[in-house]
Amino acid sequence: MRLLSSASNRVVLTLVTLAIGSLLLGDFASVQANRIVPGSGFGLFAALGSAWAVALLAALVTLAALALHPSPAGYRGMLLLISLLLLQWPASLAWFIHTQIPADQAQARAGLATGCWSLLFFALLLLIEVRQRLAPAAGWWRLGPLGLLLVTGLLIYSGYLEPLALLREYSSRSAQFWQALRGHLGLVGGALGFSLLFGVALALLIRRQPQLQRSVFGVLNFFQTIPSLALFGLLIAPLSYLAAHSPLLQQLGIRGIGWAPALLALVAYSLLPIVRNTSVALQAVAAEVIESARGMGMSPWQVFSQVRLPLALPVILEGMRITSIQAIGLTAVAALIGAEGFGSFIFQGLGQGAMDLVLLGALPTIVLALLADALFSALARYFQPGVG
Amino acid sequence: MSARPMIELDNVSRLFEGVAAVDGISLRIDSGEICVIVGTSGCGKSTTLRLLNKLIDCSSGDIRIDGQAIAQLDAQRLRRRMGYAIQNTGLFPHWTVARNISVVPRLLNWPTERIEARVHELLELLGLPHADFAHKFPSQLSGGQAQRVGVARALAGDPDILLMDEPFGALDPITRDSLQNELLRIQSRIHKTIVFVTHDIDEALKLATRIVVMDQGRIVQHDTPVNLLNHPANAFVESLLGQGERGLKRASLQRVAERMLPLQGTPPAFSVAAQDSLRQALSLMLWHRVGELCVRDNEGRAVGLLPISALLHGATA
Amino acid sequence: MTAGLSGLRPWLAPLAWSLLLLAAVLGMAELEALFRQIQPGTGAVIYQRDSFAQLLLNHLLIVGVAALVSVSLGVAAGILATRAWGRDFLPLVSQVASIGQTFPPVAVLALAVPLLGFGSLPTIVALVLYGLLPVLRNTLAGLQGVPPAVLEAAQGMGMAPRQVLFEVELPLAAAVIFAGIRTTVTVTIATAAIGSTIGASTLGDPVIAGLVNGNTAYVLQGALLIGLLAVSVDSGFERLQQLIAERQGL
Repeated sequence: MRLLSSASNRVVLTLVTLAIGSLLLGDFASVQANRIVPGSGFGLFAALGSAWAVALLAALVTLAALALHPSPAGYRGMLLLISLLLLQWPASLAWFIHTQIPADQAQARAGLATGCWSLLFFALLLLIEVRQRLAPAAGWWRLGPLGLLLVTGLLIYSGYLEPLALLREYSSRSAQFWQALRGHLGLVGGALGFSLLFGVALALLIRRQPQLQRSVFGVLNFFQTIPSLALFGLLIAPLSYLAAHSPLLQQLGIRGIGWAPALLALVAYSLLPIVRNTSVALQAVAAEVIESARGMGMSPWQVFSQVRLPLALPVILEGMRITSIQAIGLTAVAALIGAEGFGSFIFQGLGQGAMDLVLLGALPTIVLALLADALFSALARYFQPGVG
Repeated sequence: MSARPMIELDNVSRLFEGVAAVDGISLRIDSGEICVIVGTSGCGKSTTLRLLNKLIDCSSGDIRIDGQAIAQLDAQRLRRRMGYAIQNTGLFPHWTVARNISVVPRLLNWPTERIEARVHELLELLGLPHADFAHKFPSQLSGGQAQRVGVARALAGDPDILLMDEPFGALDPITRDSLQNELLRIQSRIHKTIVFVTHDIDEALKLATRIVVMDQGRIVQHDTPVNLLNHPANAFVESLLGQGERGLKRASLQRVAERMLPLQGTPPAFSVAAQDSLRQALSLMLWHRVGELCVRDNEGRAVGLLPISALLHGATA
Repeated sequence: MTAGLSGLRPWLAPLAWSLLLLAAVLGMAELEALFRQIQPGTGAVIYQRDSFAQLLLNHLLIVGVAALVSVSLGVAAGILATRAWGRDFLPLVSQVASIGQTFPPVAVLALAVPLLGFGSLPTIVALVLYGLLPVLRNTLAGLQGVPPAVLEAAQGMGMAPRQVLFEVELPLAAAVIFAGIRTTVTVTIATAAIGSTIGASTLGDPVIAGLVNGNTAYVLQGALLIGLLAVSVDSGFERLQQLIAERQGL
């Protein structure tokens, strides 16, 4: 067996090579005179000036040099360099805007090109790689990404990133943006709430009546197989029919398109992960644990609330994690049938050929999914017995 | 069997991250021996075994198999010449028993008829009727049956050398005992050179022609079971043998036939078989509260007398 | 022959769904009266811009190409990352595979447009990238799930690394890898339908056209065909999965 620490870290070397390659070969950023005309690209040196560009490349080369003969100290050095790369990322954009876009051109907008995106992408991959080589894990790996968010936030707040195309799109429809966020979260939250309610009820029903298990899972699996576009589409006709014949439903705001078919479909998709994880979690609690709880004189409710539920909670939360990530993506698709959410920006942008508008819809959708992932993973860890 | 060395280790070491798991050992194993390497976990016994078939390479020193230095040999060809059986059987779960046994013959490109005949022969040798077992999958076997298949698979390529790494370690005592007897019976027919690793000193005493005791990567003692019991090299070997049990262990290595006296007068009421161990004889005496036993041969004829004095005197010799 | 018939029986579900799909593709026009009920008025009620057969073929072609590429890449990457000389990349690859699955497929599809433009090719690229992840993740899980004792025995008996991979590791991981392929194909079929919005011609076309023009009949026709396609393919995969399990005596 070869000693890992005595050999070069080929992963870091590969990632650095790819990062340098994409910085040198592709455009770093671009400038458009207004929303309509095509932008002109700037290479790394043209975009940031020699000093900044050389410093950036020097940091990457140093990273590679450290990876040739890595040591614990070397890995800490790499982590420091990666954190700096992340921190300078928003600053480099502000610098590019400051040097290339005159303050009086209110229509001009700056765009991120491949170089800029791939620098961020490879820096994050490097972070993942170096973090797990540092054992025990150094808690300060979070400084880089958190600092990135903080610096970005500060630069946006102070107006330095104002000419960024994404922000120009945002500022021309900021009210819509927050409404889309509310709509998106509302649908996802509603789907999560309803499916939790029905899902746990179904899981408990299966526990009571095991002969139902096959058919329940059969139906829920079937829903998962049906593509979202199809399910949304199939719900329109029956819902419009119902709405047309029931004044009550009309008063509730239920129509063939809009939130009603979206929510219905989302709940149908969300049930499987919830029911599956809940029933697995409830079954997985060891029989002897239940036996001893009963033996100590706990009532059935106490057994459920004090033993079963706490032990099952992490698994149920994992189900909610899957469900919420799935629902966030599907809500974006539901914009096609008129549901509110970030999907409306995506599809409007695609329709108008306005790529920055597409980004304004796609990036928040991804961020929401990552946040939901992080939130439910953290909750599951917190409630993990013997850890929290 | 002739006593030319089949396996030779010459000052062999193996380092893991700078720490010696095997530390300069030299060893000579003759053809036809059952050499049992015994020691506590982490003593380097499994590493030593895995050096022999190049699953691990030596850091320094030479290993010769049948006179050839294995450093010069292709690892895969070398392994196909050696049988290898391990604790958790390592049977391929997606193949039938017959397919599992035929792995090495197939690697050696034997003709199909020869492979089939070999599978048949081995299953019968290990007491697994071909008709009942050939087409079963490993998941359908009991632990003992799976381990028998593991041994059959190790023997399939008709290797000169059989390497066994705690093959019976995960079995219950009764199954383990019967498989040990089986191994001895098979060995009396096939005369392979067997290197057997175990942490169970009783298993070592029962199976070995010679025992290698290892501690912290070094060989502490290399001797026959009887010599090991009579002259443990140091405190470690003594503790391994179990201080209070040594007398019984030694008694279990010797046969009644070696100690019995000619029969005189009326035979005693209670009998022992001539091929039983002295330990069994002692147990019978304690149980029946008698001082002498009648010794009978396989046909049940009274052939000798075993008084407790003969048992004691012989044993202290 | 009864033997022939009983051999066919397990294939009944996928066959029935496929026949239903075929019937719907060829006979949709016969249902004009029914769709007229849903979409009253004088306009067209049967989607005419392309034939349903053509759309189905396009859809299958896009899904086929994308799934083939992502399965080959995913399995290959999974194998490389678990070999001795690729093992350095394993932690990164498996983390990326699991983080990547957090990205909503529709967002990945949308992001393909700024980089690659509109049409079938960007759709296929996005589908490949997204479809890679389930296969990759399951390949890693399947290969890492092979019991160490089995690997040691295979090596100890003198199998070459190639033989260990093809005769032991891959067959043992097959069921898990296949489950990943099934997930990939399901996601790919669904996302390809949305690919209509970025200019790929698929069964999503009637749905999108119907939504844009307020023609519920179009929407229903497209949705019906997409659903039938997904269910047919998935039930076929389910049957294949059973076959793999049976062959391994599990």
